[in-house]
Amino acid sequence: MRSIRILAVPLVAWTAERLLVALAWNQDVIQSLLTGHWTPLVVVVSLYAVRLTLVVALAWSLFRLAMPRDERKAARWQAP
Amino acid sequence: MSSASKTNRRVRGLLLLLATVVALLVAYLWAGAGADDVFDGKAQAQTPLADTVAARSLAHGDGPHLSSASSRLNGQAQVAIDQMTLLGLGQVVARHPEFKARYLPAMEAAAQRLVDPATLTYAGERYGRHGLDGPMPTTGHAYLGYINLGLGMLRLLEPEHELAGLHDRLSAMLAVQLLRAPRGMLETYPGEIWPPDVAVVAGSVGLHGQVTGTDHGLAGWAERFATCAVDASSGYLVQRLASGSCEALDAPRGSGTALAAYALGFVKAPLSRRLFAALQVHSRRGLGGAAVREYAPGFSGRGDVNAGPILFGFSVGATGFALGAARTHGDRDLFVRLYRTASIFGGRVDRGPERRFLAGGRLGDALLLAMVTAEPST
Repeated sequence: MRSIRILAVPLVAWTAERLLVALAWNQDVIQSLLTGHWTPLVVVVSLYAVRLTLVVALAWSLFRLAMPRDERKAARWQAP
Repeated sequence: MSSASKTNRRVRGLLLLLATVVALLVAYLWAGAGADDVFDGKAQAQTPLADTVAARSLAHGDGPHLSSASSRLNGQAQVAIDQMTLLGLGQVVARHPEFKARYLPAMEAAAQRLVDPATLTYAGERYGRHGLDGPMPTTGHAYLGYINLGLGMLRLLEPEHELAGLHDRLSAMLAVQLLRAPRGMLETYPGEIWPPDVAVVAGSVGLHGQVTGTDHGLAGWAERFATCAVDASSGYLVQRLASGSCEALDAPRGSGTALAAYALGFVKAPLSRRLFAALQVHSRRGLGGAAVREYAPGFSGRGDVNAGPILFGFSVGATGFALGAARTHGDRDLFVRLYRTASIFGGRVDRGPERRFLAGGRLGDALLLAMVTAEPST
């Protein structure tokens, strides 16, 4: 359960990345900008942001998974 | 603070550092995945982007792809897309002849658009007629170099193609102009001299020489051209000159230098290597990537249609074209680093059998295909 919770953010980021790729696949950013349509640029910039989030979330998740459970926290949860 | 708590904090810090290193390593490996194979010209590394570019060439409708208010921008972008499509697919087929049947139809479609005067109506607006509309012009029309370079690549694969006669006439006309010009310059449009365009003209004549065995005698031209257009202190090519003189109207720029270094690879002139050496000096390598400075030291300016966006002094145009120059001159380290940069900032995406660079659109994909498949200059 703990592992799933920790990996949730990278998994969501990865799903968002795939969705944005599907959205951007047939768009032409340059052509859209020249005709005053900003949506494809927003999609591509969002893709950059999501990819960055994915890398950061991956690092954070690896850290959380590798870190031993905090004994004090565990004790707090067990206390009545 | 107890020693156990201190140790715990140290372990956490170490783990966080380790996790960050692993995540950066993942990004580094993803961005550079296949870069060495692309540099080595392996088929499986070249065909995903080639398939994308070929499919678009065949699916192209009527008129230019771009539809802005500027006929110059629309026409020039279309010429660039079709020329780069021809160069990129042609370079793939030249290395892997088994793909000729797969890519030749897309190359022919691109060539037919290139030679259609309706593709670049702006030339007609400036000169009164497009250079391919009627008899060959005797001066100027350097934009024809882009068309001629594309035709040369088609001719390399199909020596007896129906456009071979036009390719011969165009090359002869452009070669005469290069050799006749005291400073080795041609006007692209009336009153406009762009040395990178002239370098493409020379490259197209050089490729014609390779394909047909004709010696156009461009060695002397390269010296005159360099004396007039290469900035002595930076080694960069000046982007624009005043017509009829060597007076600079724009700065020495990385985008034009990198395009010229690639194009002049077809001439086999030492000038191409000299320009590439300047790109090596003005590129910055770090964190596994690399980028090329747009303006020579002491100059500054904004991004434009040639450079694209400029970030911290490094431009998309200079960095993208430098890929071609790096492969032409065998600099694997710079190529791989530039490829990582292009993958991250260009938004590289692999989906099924196709590869695209989402930030560059149709033009960016065609351009990158031509650059990453550039053949070594021997």
